[in-house]
Amino acid sequence: MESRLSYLLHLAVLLLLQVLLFNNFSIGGIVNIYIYVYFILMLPMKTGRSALLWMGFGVGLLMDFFSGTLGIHAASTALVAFLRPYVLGLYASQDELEKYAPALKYIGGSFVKYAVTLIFIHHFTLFALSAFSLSFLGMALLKGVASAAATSLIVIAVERLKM
Amino acid sequence: MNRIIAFFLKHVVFFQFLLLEVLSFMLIVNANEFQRSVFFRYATAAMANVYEVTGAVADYFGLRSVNDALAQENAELKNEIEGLREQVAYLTHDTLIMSELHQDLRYIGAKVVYNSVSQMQNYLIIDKGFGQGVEEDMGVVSADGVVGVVQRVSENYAVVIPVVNPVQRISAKIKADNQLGSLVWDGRRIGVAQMEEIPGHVKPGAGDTIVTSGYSAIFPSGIFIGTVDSVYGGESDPFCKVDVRLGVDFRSVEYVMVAVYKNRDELSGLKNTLKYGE
Repeated sequence: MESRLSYLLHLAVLLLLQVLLFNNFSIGGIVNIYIYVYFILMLPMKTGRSALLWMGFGVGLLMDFFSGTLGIHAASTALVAFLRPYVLGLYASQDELEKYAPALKYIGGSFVKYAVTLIFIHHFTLFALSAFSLSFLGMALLKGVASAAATSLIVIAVERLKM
Repeated sequence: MNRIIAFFLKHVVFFQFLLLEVLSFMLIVNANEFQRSVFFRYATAAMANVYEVTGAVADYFGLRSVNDALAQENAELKNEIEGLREQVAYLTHDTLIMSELHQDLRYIGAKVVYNSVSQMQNYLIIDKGFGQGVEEDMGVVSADGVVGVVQRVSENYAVVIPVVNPVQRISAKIKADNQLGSLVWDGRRIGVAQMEEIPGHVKPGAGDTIVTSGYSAIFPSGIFIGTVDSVYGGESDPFCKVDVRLGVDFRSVEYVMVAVYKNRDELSGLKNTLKYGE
């Protein structure tokens, strides 16, 4: 059980990490970590779909302001927030969906699949929108896979620590 | 109405999602120079495609009027070409004949509107008549040489009896030694006429130039007729005869000029008094 304050704190830490640390490095021009999307993943099961959507959009927009890419983060994060309930329904059992939040400590292996799927969708959308061209779709795919793997590793590691 | 609202409420999340995505997209396009340029490049291309299709359809329906316009333009251009061609033909003749050498002579340019070459009694019709100053018994020449003599005139047309008609008889001479003869056509070959009544002692050679004698008020002197092709008649004959390869190709003669003598009437009047006096 976590309070709203706790979530706000999480959000602040994630945004700071993202803006101050991860936005400033990229491995080989291919791996870019977008850890802030973790915030959308960790929200409680009971979070309403509309609320999820608006939070996703808001967090994305905030990221856009910090990184000077107005709209790109907002679009990808809103997409992830919209898809979150469906992806959860796809991987988690009815029993798991009754849990408080989609966290590793509650839903176990389903969390890994859920997190990897959504992180990849988010990253790929992000790169595709940045490239804004179908001819760079292959490149966006490559960057999406590599970066999503890196972000997922970090997210799963943090979840392990929280267990 | 209720159903629409119900449908909307049922999918309210999806509509919110759509709204947010559209909003994001607008932000992307408006705020990011690169994405904007890409967006408008594709938008422009898409619009261009649409315009191309609608334009093609509109063009198809406009074909009839376009055709009419083109046909009209064609006719105008053709008229202009005819006019210019006539001018060019006139100027070509003018410079070749050098009419300044014949100050008492001027030329009327004319176009051949009818031309027969396949019969014995060949004739041509030209598009100038007495309305333009053409009269009977005027000589007709082209850039290639003598064509014939005007036989009849109407207001805007004239009939020309060409060299290649047996009734035509033209006073000619061998340019080299000024020996006179009479040019007639035997009706056999369209490009070859005969020069008769050449004194027997004159021995014209093949290739000699035959020109008009100028001893009439029909042609000026020295207008090219043709070249000697072959010579007939032995040493003992009083007269010899030669085939003359004509300079004018009567099959394709198109632009001619009518030679007009300033003092023609006076000259022929003088001739007539002589005739009556006999």
